[in-house]
Amino acid sequence: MLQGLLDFFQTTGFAQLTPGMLVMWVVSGVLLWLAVAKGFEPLLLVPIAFGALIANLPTRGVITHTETSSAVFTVHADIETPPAETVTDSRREVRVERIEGGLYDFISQGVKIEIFPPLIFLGVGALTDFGPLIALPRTILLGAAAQAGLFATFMGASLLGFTSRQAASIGIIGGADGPTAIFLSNKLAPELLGAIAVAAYSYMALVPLIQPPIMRALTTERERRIRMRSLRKVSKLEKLLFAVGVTIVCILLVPDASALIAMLMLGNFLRECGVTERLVKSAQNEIINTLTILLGTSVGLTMRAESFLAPATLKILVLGVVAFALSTATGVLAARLMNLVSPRTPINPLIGAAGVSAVPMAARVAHVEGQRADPGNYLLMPAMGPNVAGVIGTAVAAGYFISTLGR
Amino acid sequence: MPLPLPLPPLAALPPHPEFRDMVRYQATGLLVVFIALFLLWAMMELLGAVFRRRERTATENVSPVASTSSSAPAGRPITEPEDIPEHHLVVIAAAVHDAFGPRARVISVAPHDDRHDWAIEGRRDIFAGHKLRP
Repeated sequence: MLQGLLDFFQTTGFAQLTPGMLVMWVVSGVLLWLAVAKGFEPLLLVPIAFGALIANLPTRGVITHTETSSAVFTVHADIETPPAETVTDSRREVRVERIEGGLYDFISQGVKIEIFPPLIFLGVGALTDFGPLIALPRTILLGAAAQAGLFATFMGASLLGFTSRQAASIGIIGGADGPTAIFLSNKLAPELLGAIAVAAYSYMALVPLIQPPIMRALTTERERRIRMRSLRKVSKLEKLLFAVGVTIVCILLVPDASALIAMLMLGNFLRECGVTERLVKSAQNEIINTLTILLGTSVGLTMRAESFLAPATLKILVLGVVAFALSTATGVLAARLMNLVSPRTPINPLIGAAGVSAVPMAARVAHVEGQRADPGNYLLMPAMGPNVAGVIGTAVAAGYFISTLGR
Repeated sequence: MPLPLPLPPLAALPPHPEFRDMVRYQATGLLVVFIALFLLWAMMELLGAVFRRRERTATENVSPVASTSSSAPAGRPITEPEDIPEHHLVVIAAAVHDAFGPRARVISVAPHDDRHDWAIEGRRDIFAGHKLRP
């Protein structure tokens, strides 16, 4: 009987636990605490942390972790050699056999074949109002300037020993755009996907802590008090033309960003046209919520102890905050430069920090900092311009990385 | 079927590039981002110019709307559409004064557009997950 119990014990998960798994339980617990108790981007961190916990349990039927099997499908194809010219009838037999795979072997295909991030961008586009950007077009350059942090971090990552593809995936953290970070790192450095996703979403939640000191250090009290004119009203037709124009221009320039840009602008067009309320409602709620759960858990399931508990993870976490800081700094400095070029119509340089894509938090941080200097100053709407421009800028930067490094 | 686009020679990068190649690569990438957004800026300025001209033409053809001053000490006039009753404006001004104090300014008043109620609710729900930390 004792032997029977011992034999049974060998089939349980207890026999397969490793010290690394136990450490990852602690990591998952910390992430869950940050998300639930401290409110750190809970919509993403809860699924990611839970996925990380599941990844470090000896599961069966969830995900397959072998070198030789993708646990999806096997295709048996009997293809006859091309027939002679006189023979008109030729046959090809293809038999598809399903291999037993786990739940997330199939669900995580949404990440691996780049479906989830663009569809989440559909929801992002449906939630985003580009009106403030259209009303004050020059602030789009602040969204571009903030991407300088990405490229500078790329250099830092390369100097630390990461390959070009890995460095690009790490640099994109500075764009503060979760779906884009996942989209890019899945293409260029899937082995770092888990660490990059955790860094990206954690630092997005830390925007109100990371940005203000940098903003204060790079601006004077007088500059922080600059009041901006009220934005003009933007018509519906203008917004629709904007969505179409962005799609055409960005895809022509950077075709590898097509999936992200097209879905972002499709979502926005659905929202602004006013005749597709049901579709907009679905994009803003059911679609984005469902995909957030599936994407988050799929990403979390890549955080296995062997890959996550590595020196590279710590480097990524450090480089991620560097990327954020540099993007904030370059956005603020670009705004100050714009004021030197056109002093008659100054912009408050605090809104330059909103060029990172953390919508709408970065804009709210700029607004709060502006109110600290001048309680009557309302910077939220002007800051939304560079904030949403940053989404486009980060997607373009990702397209550039993919087009140059993805082959 | 569209032709595959060639790899730009300046942008290609080995796994561990030289420092000079890295700098060149970064500069190219940043330039690409700026070019894309600059083109969008030009497009928006053009659209803005066309639509502002249309609005100016439209307002020149319409008789001016009566304006009332705000109850706030800043005294900025409120532009009202004709279908907002005056006593509604008084209530709105009083509510703003009570909620935000004497320094608040009512910039404009417009009828509520209820076409996007679901959109607003969805946005509110999603953004409620992004907790702004003090």
